[in-house]
Amino acid sequence: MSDEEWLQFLDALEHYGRELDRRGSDRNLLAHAVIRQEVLVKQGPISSSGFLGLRADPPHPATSGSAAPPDRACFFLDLLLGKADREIMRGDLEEEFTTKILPKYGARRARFWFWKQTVKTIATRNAVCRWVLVYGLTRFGEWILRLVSG
Amino acid sequence: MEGNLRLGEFEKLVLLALLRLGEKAYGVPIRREIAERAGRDYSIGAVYTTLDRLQAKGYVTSRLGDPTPERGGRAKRYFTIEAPGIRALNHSRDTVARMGGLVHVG
Repeated sequence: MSDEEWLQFLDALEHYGRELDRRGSDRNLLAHAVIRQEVLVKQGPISSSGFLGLRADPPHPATSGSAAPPDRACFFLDLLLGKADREIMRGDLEEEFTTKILPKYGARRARFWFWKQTVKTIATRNAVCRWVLVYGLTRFGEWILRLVSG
Repeated sequence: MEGNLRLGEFEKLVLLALLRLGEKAYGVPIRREIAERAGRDYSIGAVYTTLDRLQAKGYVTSRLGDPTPERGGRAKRYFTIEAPGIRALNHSRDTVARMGGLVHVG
């Protein structure tokens, strides 16, 4: 644990100690809370009231799940975009992912956003992929219609 | 090369975004500017396709910027609107004005 994490832990413990005095002692509750604190501190900064469970603080978006763009999406961008596009567009997507989308929406939605942008970007910049996508969607639509019409 | 001065809808939005952003116009802020002001979310690929088309017409020019850590060490490509691009925007505005301006229906 870093110094800051220790300070948070001690702050929470002191707060919890006051709560115990107020409510009456409960060793199991304290042990449980210490273990929970260990887990929460590893996940990111928390407030002492969050530690006590008095008010559920949401986990910090940048630390829940993976904070990096999805590897497979990056692989498809590198594979299917031209050399110049790879450098510029992938940089733009990563920048927007890291600086705007991830802090605002959290890791899960940010990764979904990155995938969506990857598909849209490849469909726009790669004519072959665009054709495959359109053809595939058309055939899929025909299959659905055949299924529905019986 | 100037070509004809007609602009598509999205081309106008991109040129106006370049005017607003000035020296700091590259993919991410251009896309954001259009999304925030026009309420339309275009992919970065669509933005660059339009910018390439405008560059081919001579309406914009581009230069490479420095790489940054949040971009995974990749460079930015800055765009600047040129005089023909401004003329094309003015032509577009004048065309709307000649048609009688904006008409509110209802």
